Amino acid sequence: MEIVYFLALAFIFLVKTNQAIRLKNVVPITKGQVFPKPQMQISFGTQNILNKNEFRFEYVKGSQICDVVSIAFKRYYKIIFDSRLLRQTNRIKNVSSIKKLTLMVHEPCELYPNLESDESYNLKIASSIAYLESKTLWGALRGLESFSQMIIESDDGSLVINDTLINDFPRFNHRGILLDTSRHYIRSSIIKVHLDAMEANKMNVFHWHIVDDESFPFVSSSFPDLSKKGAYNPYTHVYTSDDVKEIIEYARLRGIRVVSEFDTPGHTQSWGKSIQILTKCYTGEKPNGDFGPIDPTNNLTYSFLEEFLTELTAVFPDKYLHLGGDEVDFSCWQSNPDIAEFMKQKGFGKDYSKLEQFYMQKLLDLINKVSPKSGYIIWQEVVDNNVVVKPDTVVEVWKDPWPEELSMVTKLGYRALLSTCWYLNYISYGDDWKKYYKCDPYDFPGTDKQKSLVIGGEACMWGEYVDGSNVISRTWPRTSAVAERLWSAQNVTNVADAQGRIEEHRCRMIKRGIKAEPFNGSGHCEYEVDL
Amino acid sequence: MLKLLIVLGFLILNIVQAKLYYIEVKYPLLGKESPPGSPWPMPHFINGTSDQILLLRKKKFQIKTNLEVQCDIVSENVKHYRNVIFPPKIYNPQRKRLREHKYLNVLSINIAQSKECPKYPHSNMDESYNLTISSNEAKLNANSVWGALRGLETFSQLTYFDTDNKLVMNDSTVIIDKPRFVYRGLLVDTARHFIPVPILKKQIDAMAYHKLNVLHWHIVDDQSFPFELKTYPNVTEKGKYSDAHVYTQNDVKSIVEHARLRGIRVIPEFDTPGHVESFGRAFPEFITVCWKDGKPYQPIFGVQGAAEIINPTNEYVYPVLKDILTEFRDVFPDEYIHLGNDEVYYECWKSNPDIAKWMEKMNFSDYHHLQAYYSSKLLKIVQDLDKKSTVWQDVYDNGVDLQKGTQIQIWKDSSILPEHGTWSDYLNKVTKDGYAAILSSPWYINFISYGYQEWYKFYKVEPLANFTGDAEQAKLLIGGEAAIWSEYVDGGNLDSRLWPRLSAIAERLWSPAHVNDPEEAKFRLDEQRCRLLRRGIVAAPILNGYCGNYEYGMAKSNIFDPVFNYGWPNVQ
Repeated sequence: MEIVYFLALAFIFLVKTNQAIRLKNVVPITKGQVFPKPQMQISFGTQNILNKNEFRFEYVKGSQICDVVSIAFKRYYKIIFDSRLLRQTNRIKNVSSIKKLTLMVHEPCELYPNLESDESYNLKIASSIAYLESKTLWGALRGLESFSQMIIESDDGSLVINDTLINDFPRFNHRGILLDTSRHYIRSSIIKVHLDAMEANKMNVFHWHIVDDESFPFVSSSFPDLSKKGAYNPYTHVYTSDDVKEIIEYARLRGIRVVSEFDTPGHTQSWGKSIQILTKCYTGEKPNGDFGPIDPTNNLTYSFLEEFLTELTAVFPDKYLHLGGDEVDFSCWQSNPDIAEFMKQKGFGKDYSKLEQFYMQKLLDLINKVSPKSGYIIWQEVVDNNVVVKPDTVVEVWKDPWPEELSMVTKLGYRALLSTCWYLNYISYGDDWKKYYKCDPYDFPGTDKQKSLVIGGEACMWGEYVDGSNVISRTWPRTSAVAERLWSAQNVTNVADAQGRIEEHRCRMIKRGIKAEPFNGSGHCEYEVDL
Repeated sequence: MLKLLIVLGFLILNIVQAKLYYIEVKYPLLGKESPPGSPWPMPHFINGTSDQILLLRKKKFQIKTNLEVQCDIVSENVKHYRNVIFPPKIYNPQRKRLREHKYLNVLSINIAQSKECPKYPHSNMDESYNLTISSNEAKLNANSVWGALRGLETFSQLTYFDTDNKLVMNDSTVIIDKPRFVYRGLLVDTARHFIPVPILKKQIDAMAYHKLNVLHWHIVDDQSFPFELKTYPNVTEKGKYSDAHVYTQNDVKSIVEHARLRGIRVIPEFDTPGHVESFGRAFPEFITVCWKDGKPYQPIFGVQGAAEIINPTNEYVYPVLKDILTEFRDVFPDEYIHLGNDEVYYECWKSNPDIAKWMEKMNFSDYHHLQAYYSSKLLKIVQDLDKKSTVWQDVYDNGVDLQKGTQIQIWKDSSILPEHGTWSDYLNKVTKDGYAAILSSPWYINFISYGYQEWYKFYKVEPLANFTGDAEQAKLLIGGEAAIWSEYVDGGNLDSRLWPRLSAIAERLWSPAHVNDPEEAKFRLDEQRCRLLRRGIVAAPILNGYCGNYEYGMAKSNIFDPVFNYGWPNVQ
């Protein structure tokens, strides 16, 4: 810790005392670069003009026609021809113009994206023709995003795009971000801005850490008391089923999965306000009024969970549920004589991780019972504590040292997600995005087969110090660094190169109404927040 | 997955670690929660004993004054504080008269100088006031209009919404209040990132909500020159980021006017001879060419740029600077101009052969003499313009003779650079030499860090902790100033970076020294953050929990309400 402190000082020294030297240079900004960097891209000098009045999106004959894509056409038309920002220009003669983007989607439309969705696409701008081709509708969405990013305003105010070939696909299938709506509530309108930002960064999983110790804002139809008693305010600080549906739909239209997390058996204080399933903590021989994790010895626990999980699997369409399972505090269990008795009966000895195992196993059995098709994601502790889980379980690694953990988890044959190096709630002064950028999920000892089990990663924005007032600016564009790591090729690692592109991308987000904050030192955007 | 151990790693020193992992239900917080309507910053004396609640109704409530002259400062604030007290969207008029309740219908403001309407806030303004709420009457007494403004702010903070959403305040409250320090400032840097005018105006409002009284406008720097210069339009033309990133003189005037009405001075900084890259684009001949290995225009990484600092030996510099400072004088009415003069590193001057020759001719043995030569000329220009100067401490450290009355801003500390002294040493020295000092070193709030109640470190600073001088000398420590250098701040996150972290400093500068227990203060500060949200200021959370359905993004949010915004073209 002293080392950390010392480094912080050393850093202050660099920036403050050399303000004149180090920070004089404003970060160079790219123009019309696609972010995250496509797998393969060739650009040519030829420019084509786009004209608001004549441009349109069109399906090629034979293409699948999907609602999600048709709606995206409208959305991207608005983004590209943002009427607030468009300048009047005289069309220049003798410049080629692009009158339409034609799209070919090969595979039949799907309702929801999933972990296996193919997001690849090919985009070709040449000889006044723009052509986008993808296997699935989800790939089409990613291609439209890239297309919109390549269009820039030229000096005379006209919108132009360079002749370009792009062949693109994600490196990882699971590119997520966790928002915590329990420590502070975040209104759905802000979550939607966040989903817009995810789309702009080609991220595809919204990990919704919806409840926790502090509050229970999810309105359950089977157990309405959970939010009535557990939310900060049962009327204003809740997600009604309409809110939840709206968010899932908003995400679906952007090719984003919503993976909900109902974390148990720890992190459940807010549940206990209405449902008597928490462990009573004891001081000496008497309950002291405090409660610990869910009581695994109580039958009520499981009948409640069965009904609640039935509801959750119906509300959240994604195949995966995040079941939490992290940071179970054993001290309360240890204090409780009934639990001691139970442990004795089961022959657990003093090993409370066995009790945790017992609980997790029951929970997983319940899910298999109520929704056999569901998959689950769990925090690493569950596996660390040797709980047997289904082979297709996804394990999220959040503790250090993560390389060892990833190595262990994948050796066991589980698929894994990395989030340890991407806890974006931990802020520090300066351009901390570089350390997120440099973290690569393959940097662990393991075979190719093990590496192939890493399906992606998640940036986490825990909510202790963020709410609607600052969650967007704090999350973006720092998360963009993670987005590129998870989408682009493994060898896209040049920080200096990324700097200018993220700078452009930040300005692009601001233009789209996302208040992404400065992350690179001094500079400016053509269109600032509220200019 | 907030993990106790990880958080410990990020802990700032001196914090009670046991309470670090903050979940109220498991680990109750230290300190006592303050009752609703607790003011921030804490007044010098406050006594509230009654449980009697008074209701306020927008239709009936009036603010009256004894002023015998028209005074826009007062009338504007009477209007403004009606919005503050009865915030749009949140305040719901009670339809029925509630018989069992008592009402407060009038706040009477009594200003001793009832025939005076001062024009501009200034360094000697009397900001003291007394406020009594008793037997359904509220009386605010102040010597000057400025005290009345501060008292009005406190009055507005005593009102709160009770659990039935009625707007109320407690009867029987006596407050006697005055600032501990006369200078309570905020530096805003608009050169590294441009801050749009409407967003700056909101910060001025928020400053008034904290009884801060100086906006130090670090308007230009190396990176850009957003100030519209009329005498040398080329400087702006070449120094600005873009056309959209310019404060026209009308913009500047409207900001100064807005600040005036809130009792806040605006001190502009024209920082020279360093920090002038953007200025030098129009006047390259005024900038010292740095040499290396017998070649001109050579940067040395970490030491010097290729051309980065004014060349004091060029006599044509001074008339131009005089013209610019004259323009600053005309646009900024405050009695002070900040001349910068920080971070003047001699390497570039030393490398330049022409300067060496000139020094020889002038018989200057040391580069301090060169800086002294330059600085005294500038100080003289400001004096001739009938203004006083504020400078960063570097000039003083380098032994430049400064006129009495020059204010020195302390920003160095051994925690920043080992060869520096401590800020206490600098305060001791500067005030011993008879100069007024402004403390900034511990309050660079652009430096963020993660951890439990990061603002404690700002709050716990005691400016006089290691002060060695006598009471007379202590008076020369006129106050402090927080600085938000804007490398990582723009219009999108300025509010949430400033507030409520800056609130901690505001209390240190206004309230008595003994109000210094952060464990107690945190609840009151949390209340202040909710108060700010009700007034449309985007303040970030400090404790888990919630304010109400007026948070950012929620149905009754005032963040974009027109009464708390000033010409946003893009109100959402």
